[in-house]
Amino acid sequence: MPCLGNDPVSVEGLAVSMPRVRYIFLIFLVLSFKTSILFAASKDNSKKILVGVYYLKNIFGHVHQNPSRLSASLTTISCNHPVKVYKKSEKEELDFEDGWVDAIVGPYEGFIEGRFLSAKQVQCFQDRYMKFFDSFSLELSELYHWGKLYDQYIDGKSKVR
Amino acid sequence: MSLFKWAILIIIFSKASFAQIGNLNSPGEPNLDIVAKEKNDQQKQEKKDLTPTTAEKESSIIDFQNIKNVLKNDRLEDQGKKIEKAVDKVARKRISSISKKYDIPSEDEFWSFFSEYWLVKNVSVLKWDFARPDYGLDDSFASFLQDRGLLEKKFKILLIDSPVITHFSLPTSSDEFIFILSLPFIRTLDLSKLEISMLLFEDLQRDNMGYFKSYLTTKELKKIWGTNFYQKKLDTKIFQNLLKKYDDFIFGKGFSFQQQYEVTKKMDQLMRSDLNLWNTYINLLKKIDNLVKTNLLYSKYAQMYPSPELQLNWLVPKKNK
Repeated sequence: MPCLGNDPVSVEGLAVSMPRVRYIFLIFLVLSFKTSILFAASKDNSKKILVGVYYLKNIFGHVHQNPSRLSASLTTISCNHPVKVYKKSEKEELDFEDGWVDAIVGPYEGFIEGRFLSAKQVQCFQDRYMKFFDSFSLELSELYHWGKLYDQYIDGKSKVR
Repeated sequence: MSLFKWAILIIIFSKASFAQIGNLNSPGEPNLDIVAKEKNDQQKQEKKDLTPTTAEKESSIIDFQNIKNVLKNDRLEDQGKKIEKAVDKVARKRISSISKKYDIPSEDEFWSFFSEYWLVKNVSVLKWDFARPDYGLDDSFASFLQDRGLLEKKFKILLIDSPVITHFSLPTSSDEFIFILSLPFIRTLDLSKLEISMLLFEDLQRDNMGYFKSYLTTKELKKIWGTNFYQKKLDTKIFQNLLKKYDDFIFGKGFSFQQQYEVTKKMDQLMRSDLNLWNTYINLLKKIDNLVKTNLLYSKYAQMYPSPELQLNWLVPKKNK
């Protein structure tokens, strides 16, 4: 009489099933590693604290890949374009006069010089003189360079001592 | 006789009956058919006269005066006028908001915009889009201006990687300056921050005297500043010509001897009070004079700013032997 649980297992079958187990284990390991990476990444994003929505003051400007005017431009934005400004921690103090800020513009995450941003909407040249500005029919390369021009300027102001 | 009598009688009788029938056509007596017709027409006319016209019908139904009075009493007329005014106001607002889009900037705003436009157009010639060094010129020039008593003056310095322009001040708004400064030029001369500040200060004096602006300003430009071109055509040729004028002056014509003399004298006046500063200015001019005479790359300098040698003569007159 055959007993329950005492079925004979062939040696061949065991030999086949062992790699399968290993394979499943390997997939499980890879998946768990991937999810841990994704989780870490999402945790890193959630760390960013939204400071507020700011607006570009200049006629045109750039969102840079890194906090340097020499770094690649992710996108060119025009005056009054809303920019979401973030900081990495509660303690971090942003320097809007002489520093760079973390910025998100549409799908682009990058950096903008703080001095180019305003907390309130500004009266832009191209809005006030819309048709006059349009009459110049600027090309895309010109829009890009106009944004670059503000990166290249060495700005200063003489003040009352 | 009796036959004759009968014949006469018959004739008379027949004549009489003829006359009875023929009198229809006689003018003296009435024609029964026509009379009947006329009577009928008259009746119709009378009937027509009695029936009211459509206007009469309407006037009998709508008593305008009466309605006016009712409206007056109900103040609906006032309400109507108010609505009419509101509609008019909205329409005017709409038109003014549309026409506002066609505004042309005032002179002050125009120069700032156009100078930047010229810089953008000439990016390949001037080569300003490069990895510029940070010499701290913003602080040094700001403090130089402060020492000269020029306060609350904004400035932008654009370093270029080309000797095509050595230094220049572009026209902008009244409280702002845009300077172009050649990096190869200041490197070749090995200028100090103070010397660079002096060079920029000289450009600032030229800007204040408005030489370049007056060269650029045309009647056409003056006419359009601060105006509106709604339902008119904006002549863009004016701006094309202006771009050309920028090029002609900056890359060719330069300042006149008279203008250069006035600037040098002004600088002399401003520097005299500080002997160290005045000596630095003289040394700067000597350096430039030497460069212009020895380096072919800067041979056009004297054409743009005539000339360092003359400037030195104006400042330090040679003693007659």
